[in-house]
Amino acid sequence: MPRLTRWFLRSGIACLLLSLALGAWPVHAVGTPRWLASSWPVQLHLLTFGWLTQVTFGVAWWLFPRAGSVSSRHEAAMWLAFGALQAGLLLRVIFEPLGVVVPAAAIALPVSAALQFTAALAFAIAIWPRIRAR
Amino acid sequence: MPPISVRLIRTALLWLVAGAAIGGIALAAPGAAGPGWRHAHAEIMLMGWMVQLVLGVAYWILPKHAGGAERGSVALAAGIHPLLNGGVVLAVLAWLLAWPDATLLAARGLQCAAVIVFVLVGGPRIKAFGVGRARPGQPA
Repeated sequence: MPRLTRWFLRSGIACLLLSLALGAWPVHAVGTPRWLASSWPVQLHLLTFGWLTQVTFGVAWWLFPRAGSVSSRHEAAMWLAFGALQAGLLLRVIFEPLGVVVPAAAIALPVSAALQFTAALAFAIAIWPRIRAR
Repeated sequence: MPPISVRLIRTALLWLVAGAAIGGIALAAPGAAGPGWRHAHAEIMLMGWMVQLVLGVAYWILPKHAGGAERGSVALAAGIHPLLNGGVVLAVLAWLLAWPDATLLAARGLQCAAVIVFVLVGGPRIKAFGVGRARPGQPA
């Protein structure tokens, strides 16, 4: 299994655990902090983007057919996808709930959005040449 | 990889990029993007990206038949891509442009049809590796 795949899978599992931990919290209980009570978008994105999509990225990089050796440019694009995905998710996990309490914190969200878009685009560029008919 | 899988997986990648862009705009500028943008984002990411990728990979990787068309009817399978993507495009337009509910119903109909076609083609291939398709007149 390639090193990139191992990192994607490890990070994906961490996101799954974090999402489940957030989901287990009784958000409607009296006394729950406002930032935690409104954290469901973060929980959902940890599950769909952090877990499902990230594991898909990693497994696709491992299993999709290789035409000879993978070029270093495509591997670099895949590392960019990995880094941008982690940074984008991290910013979102911190600043989206924080923005409920401190509105100024929401200023980080466009950066998070740009990073997540970069991750999707970089993955598409990295994997595209490996999707072809025999 | 069969051409039908290539088409499905490449289109899924295009939807991934489009869905990330729409979701990014909805996150970065919630005031500018209406509530329909979030629905469109969810539609693209679930049906356009995830479901389409899964169908494309499944069509490629499920055990093949021992005789005849190894992946079932190619003509039937060729219907999956236009049905699914027609449904996604229609649903996204319905969410973004606030079209009547009947449009969403039609979109879901197309998506269901795509999945039914996939089940017809791929269903018989859900079996243990090495098990061939029974010939007429012979026990399975």
